[in-house]
Parts: sequence; C-alpha cells; structure tokens
Amino acid sequence: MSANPKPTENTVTLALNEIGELFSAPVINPFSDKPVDLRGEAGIVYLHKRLRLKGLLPHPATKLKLQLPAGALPADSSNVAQLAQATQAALNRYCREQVAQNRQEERRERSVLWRQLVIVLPVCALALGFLLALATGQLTPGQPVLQGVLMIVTLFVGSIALWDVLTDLCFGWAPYVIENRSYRRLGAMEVEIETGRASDR
Amino acid sequence: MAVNSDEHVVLRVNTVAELFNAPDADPFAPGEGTILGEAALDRLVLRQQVHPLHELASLPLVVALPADQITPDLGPQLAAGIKRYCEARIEDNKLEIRHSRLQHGVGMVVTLFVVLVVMAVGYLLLMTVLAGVSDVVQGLIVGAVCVFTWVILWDPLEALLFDWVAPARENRVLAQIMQMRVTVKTQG
Repeated sequence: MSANPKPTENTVTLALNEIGELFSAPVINPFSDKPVDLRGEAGIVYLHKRLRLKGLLPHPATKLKLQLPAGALPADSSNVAQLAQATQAALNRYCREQVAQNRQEERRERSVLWRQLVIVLPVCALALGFLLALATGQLTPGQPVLQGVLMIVTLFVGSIALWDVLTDLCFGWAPYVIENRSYRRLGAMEVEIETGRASDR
Repeated sequence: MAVNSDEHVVLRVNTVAELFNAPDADPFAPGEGTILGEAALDRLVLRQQVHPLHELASLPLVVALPADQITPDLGPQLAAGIKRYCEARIEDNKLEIRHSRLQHGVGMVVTLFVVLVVMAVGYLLLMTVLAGVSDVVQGLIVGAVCVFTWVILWDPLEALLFDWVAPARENRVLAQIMQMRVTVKTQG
C-alpha cells in the first residue's frame, strides 16, 4: 500500500509531505512518487479505499505508520510522540464523525424511501385489484390471450413501481455497513510517525 | 486542449499543473480547459473514449506551454510524471473494479439464497396448503415468484456484468497515454 520499504504484516505505511495531507487533499503532483501526490487525494481517502476492500475479508492491519520529511517533524522526539498521539486522536475523531454522517445519510435515505413506498403502495394495490379482476375473468371474458397479456403487463407495472423502493430498502444499507466498518478499523489504528524522504513540494 | 490529428496530440495549457489539476472555470478565457475547469489529461481521456484516435499510443503527445514555464529538463520529467500519474489512476480503477465485484458478488450470493428459499416456500405451499386452489391463482403465485426473482437479482447481476466496463475503458486509454512520447514546446 505504500511506495516505501516493505511494511510488516500488520502495519500500513503512508508517505506524506506534511501531516495535514492525512486529512486534506494536496494538489496533484506527478513529479512525486507519494500516493497522495499522484492522486491528489487525502491520505485518509487513499487508506479508506484500500481498507474498504479489505474490510470484506479478514485483514490484520492494526498500525498506521506515517512517514514525514524531517523538516515537517518537530526536532524533539517527545514532540514527535505527542504529534503521533494527536494524529491518532484526530484520526479517531474523523472516522467517528464520518460514521455518524453515514448513519445520518442512511436514515435520511430510508425516510425518503418510506415516503416513496407510501406513494407506490396504492399503485400496486390498484395493479393487484386489476390483476385479480383479470384472473377471475371479469374484464376479459372469453379472451384468454388478451387476459394473459394484460396480466403480464399488470405484473410488470406493479413490480416496476415497487422496484427501486424495495431494492433500496432491502439492500441500500450494505454500502454504508462496508464504509462504516472500514472507517471504524481505520479509526482504531495505532499511529506512528517516522522520518521519511524529503518533501516533493 | 487543441489540435488532435493522426500525427500528434497537442495539449495546450498555461502551467504543467493544468495537465493534472482542474483550473478554475473561466469561460471568459480562451483556453479550452479553462472554460469548464477541466484538467487537460482528463479531457484527453474522455475524448479518446468518445472519438478514439487510431493507435493513440504511437502518437507523440505535445504539451504546449508558455515559454516561461519551460525548463531544460522538463520534457523527461514530465514524461515520467505522466507515466506515474497514469499508473496511479489505473491502480485506483482496478481497485474500484475489485471492490465492486467483491461487494456485488457477496450480494449475489445472498440474493440467490433468498431466491432459493422463496422458491422452496412457494413450491411447498403449492404442493400442500394451496394444492386445491384454481390454476389461475397458482399461476399468479408462480408469476409473482418469477417477478420477485427477477427484481431481486437485477441489481447485483447488472453491477457484476457492467460496473467494470467504465473503469476498464478508462484504464485502456490511460495505458495508451503512458506509452505516448511526450515532448514540450512553446505555445505559438
């Protein structure tokens, strides 16, 4: 996951030019080989995309190692440790906020879907009534072909009306679960900071 | 962007950064990229997908810059930079395809299981409790199960079959751009 020496099994390494690039996207700089520079995306977005994939499978990564240029680090090693702790706390806060926002968005979508269902159900009830009338031969006596065609069309109309709403109600939660799971894992990672290569800016 | 022909592709930009980063939209400015605020390489990728140039990879890519933006070693550096940028985008697109396949593959397995359960329950009902009902009602039940199966399988199947197409097409164009010979010239 990094352009740097091979990480240990449970460590993810990410090279940045400054600590702010973990949360704010830098401008694309293809003259650098740092992943955030090449993509013009924040470090956390880069990490999340990869953890999101691994979130569907078991993965052991529990540590996040950030490599910063010497000029971007405090001179004193105890201050570097403090920066690592502050970054870990910030990462945890960011991920918690992201999860909360996702939940809010999911609830908002769900409430919209329930309202759509209220509109769609009368349509389906009408279609069902029409279907029953067709099935009992009240509307098309002695015309089996027409009866069959109208029944199929009515089934399609009813299902298409219900389609989007039911699909989103049944499955719309899944992407949020995947996203939130990977954000929780990201937020729980232990952060270390070490000296990396010089800035490419 | 400027002239594309079968001999070369020209990207006319004000700074090197405008190749990769979208400038602010400025319809008062004459440059193609500034009207809508698009990065030059993004426009090239889109244009190649819509109006593909024959054998793009063998054409030279000419980056036309103002004279004050050009340094002696810019050409090779820019070529290496474009290659790295394209590699990063290709990697991200492949990641997106993998994620989509994994997510919708799992969804497909779940929906197939649900479909089998519904079909089994429907069959059992028709064989036992509803065995004596009319053919029309039985037909309606079978039809409803068919429609349910169709609806529930649609999204994951559609995603598995088609979601990979757009990023894969973009990767094909990016791979071609990576092979282009990059030169820098002064804007005329």
